[in-house]
Amino acid sequence: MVKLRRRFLGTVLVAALVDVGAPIQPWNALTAAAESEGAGISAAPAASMVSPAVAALLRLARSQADAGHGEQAAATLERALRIEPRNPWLWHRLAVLRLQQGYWDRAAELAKKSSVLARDHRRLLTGNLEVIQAARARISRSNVE
Amino acid sequence: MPRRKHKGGGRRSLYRRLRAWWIRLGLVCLVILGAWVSWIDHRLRVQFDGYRWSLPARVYARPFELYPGRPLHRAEIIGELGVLGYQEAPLIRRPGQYQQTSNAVRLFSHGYRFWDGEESSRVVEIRLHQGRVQAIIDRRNGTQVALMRLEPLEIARIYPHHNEDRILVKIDDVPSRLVQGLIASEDKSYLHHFGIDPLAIGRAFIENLRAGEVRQGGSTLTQQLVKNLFLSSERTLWRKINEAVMAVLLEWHYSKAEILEAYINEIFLGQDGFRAIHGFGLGARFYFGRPLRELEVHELALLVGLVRGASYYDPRRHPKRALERRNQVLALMINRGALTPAVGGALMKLPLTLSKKNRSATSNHPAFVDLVRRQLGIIYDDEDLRNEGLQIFTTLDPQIQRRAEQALRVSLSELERQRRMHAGHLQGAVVAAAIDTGEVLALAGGRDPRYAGFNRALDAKRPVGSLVKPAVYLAALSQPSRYNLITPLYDNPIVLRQRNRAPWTPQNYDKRYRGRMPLMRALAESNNVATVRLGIDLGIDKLQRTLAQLGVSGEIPPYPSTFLGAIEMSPLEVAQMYQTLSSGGFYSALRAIRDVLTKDGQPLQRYGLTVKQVLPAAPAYLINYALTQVVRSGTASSLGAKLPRSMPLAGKTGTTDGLRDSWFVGFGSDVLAAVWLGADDNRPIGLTGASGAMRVWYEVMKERPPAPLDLAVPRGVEWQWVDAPGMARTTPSCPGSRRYPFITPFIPSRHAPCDWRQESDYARAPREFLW
Repeated sequence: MVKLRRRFLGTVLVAALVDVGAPIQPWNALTAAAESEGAGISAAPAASMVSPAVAALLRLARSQADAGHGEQAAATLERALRIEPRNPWLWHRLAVLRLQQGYWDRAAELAKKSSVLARDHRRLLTGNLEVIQAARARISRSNVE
Repeated sequence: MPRRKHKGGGRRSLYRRLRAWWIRLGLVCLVILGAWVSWIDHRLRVQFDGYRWSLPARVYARPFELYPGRPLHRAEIIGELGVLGYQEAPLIRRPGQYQQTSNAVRLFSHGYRFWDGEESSRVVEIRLHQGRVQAIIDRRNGTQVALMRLEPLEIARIYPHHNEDRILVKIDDVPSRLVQGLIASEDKSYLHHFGIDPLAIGRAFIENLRAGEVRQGGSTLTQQLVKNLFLSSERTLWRKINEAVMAVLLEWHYSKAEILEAYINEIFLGQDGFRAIHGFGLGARFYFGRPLRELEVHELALLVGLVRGASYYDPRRHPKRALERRNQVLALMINRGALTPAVGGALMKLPLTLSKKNRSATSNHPAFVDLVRRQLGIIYDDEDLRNEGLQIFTTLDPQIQRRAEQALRVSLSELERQRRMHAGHLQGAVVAAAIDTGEVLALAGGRDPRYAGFNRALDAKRPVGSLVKPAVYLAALSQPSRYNLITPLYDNPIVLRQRNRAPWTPQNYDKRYRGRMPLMRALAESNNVATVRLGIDLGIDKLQRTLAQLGVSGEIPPYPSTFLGAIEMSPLEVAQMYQTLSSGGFYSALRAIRDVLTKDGQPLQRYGLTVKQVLPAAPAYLINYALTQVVRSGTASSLGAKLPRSMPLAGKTGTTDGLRDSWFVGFGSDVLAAVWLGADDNRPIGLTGASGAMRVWYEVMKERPPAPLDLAVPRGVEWQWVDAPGMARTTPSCPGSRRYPFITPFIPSRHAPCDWRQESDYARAPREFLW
């Protein structure tokens, strides 16, 4: 296995994941259209579907994402997932967030996980499918370029 | 050379020439001196400006989350508060105290600035009811709290090679009483002198003459700092001169505040094993268990007193001396007007208020920290890891970790006693992980948790035996046109002739043959012969592919013995394989770290949650269902009997040839744990998976077992009643009929009439029929 060693010089290393405060980048027309048409479901799940703790975290993640702190929002959603690991809504929201951040592969896999857990929930299944399609479109686009 | 003729004039010219020489010499000396001073000056500034103390990396466990509905026993929350240093108190007045009532625990949390959100300090009441958190009430305003987390527990430090340890403080955060104490005790005119204090030196000189020995130094704080930072501790005149010059230069370039801050962070305050305690920030934690800003005046005075001799005045080893010295400092503070005589006098009467020494000198969980370091080592240099004060937030759950360590320690001794084994012969390892997120919750590398030696959880690669069978059966179930859960397999004698190898006759554990049996039962009972036949039907390449999908790296030998687990894996690798299975086919690399921050709390690296679907949902579902049968009626049935409320639980026992390795992996819907037992020298231990590792698993999990497996039927799977031979659809009322899941569309479609004479081949399986 190749070991990566980077010299740490007191500056912040940007590893693959860290949001250094940049706002969530708007991407190209295709995916922007998908987003505006609602790739994924932006509305919150019904109150009956989540516990108060998870509801609070969903709200927090929302505000963090809106303020452009994508990684913080992801961390908050992951915190919610530790409380309800089999809640398909949470996996879906994380998938949508990753899609918005441009992590196509990850977004698709998270959406698949959500779908397996969602079983017959049509709205969620459709939402996840949108995310997967948007991600695949973007991946094949970048392969062509 | 003077000429005798010019006596009078010669002497004058000699004098003049000598004077000229002296002037020249003087000038040269001055130049040399100037060069030397400016060289020191340059060095000093470069060093002081660039001076970054080496700070060890700090490793934290996962923060404890509290929310209504969370399963929680009183003992768990009290235990958590205990290791965080909270103290039970009749009245809650300050952060770090808690109180118990009949149905609740009240606490005053410290609060913490997590990088993904600030947690404020709160006074809360946590109401417990029937093993769960019922409500969390903020006692300051009566509102309900939906979610809160406690400050993270530090579990280890990764030290710089010179083993210095410190907590940096900024001058603005230093209590003024500390500064007053330092000045009163060490350097009365600190604020006025220019680096050295000639008056103080003079006073000291006279004092020492009078006393006949060296009693006082005239060193200023600045000089002490210079000595500690830049110079050796030899006490020569030359060094003293150097020190004086450097002190003056330091004061010339830097402010009193900057120098004081450096001093406060540098001064040596104690030794804890191999770890050297530097600075008042860490001194406060080390002696009083609290942050510097929370200390009372007499506690600050104690720390000031340590400056003169941290070992000599060590309050834990020489409490009387320490008390006297502290009161000396207090007296000096009174003298200087920093304290009124009344207040000072009262403080002097107080006893020492030390905290218990924390076990934080060595890492508390070396095996887990070992995994953390290996995962970090992929990205960070050893130097950076040790010196930059990184803050590493891990996935460790200290409660599970404690139970794992205890289970190993206690159960292994018991097993040795019961089986009359040589004490110390048995070793083991435990890995516990969260199924859907892949977070490593606990990791124990041996029966002695503090021994940071051979980490069996990561490095003991042992044959896995029957643990491999689920992969074989999964490979089969992935071909639903050929195999389903009730496909008949044959436990009949078989001899395998292989090229260049002796013929092999696989045997069951009891050397018997049972004939025909359904696939699911062959797995539940861990039948060897049927498995080998199945594997040969499938082909070794299918197994290799399945194992690779499950995340098993490394070579998989292309021999039939591989079907019975003649492959070597570490407990962590086994846990990874079962993570993929138990999550329904979503591989998530097991990770021990969540976030890495700089010493200032800036995020540096995140290990975010990622998953990858490597198995279709339907066969994953079938195999997990089959593994519940292992616990319900198979080789792990005694576990099922002990944890009835956790059913369905899934698991697999593993036993190797000659009873050298005992394995068990068990999981519910949220947590899985893998346990290995064996001897380091590979001698037989006489324990099967069920009689050895499974017992340890039970000890680890019994206090908080996994949540029951929720086997939600995925799309592509249908349950169906089939008759006893499993050939045809039937109705529930037929004798011997049972329900099984099948992958659509490969469901037995032919309907068969009830055969009332048919006796179930599978008599032991519980029947479900209606009268």
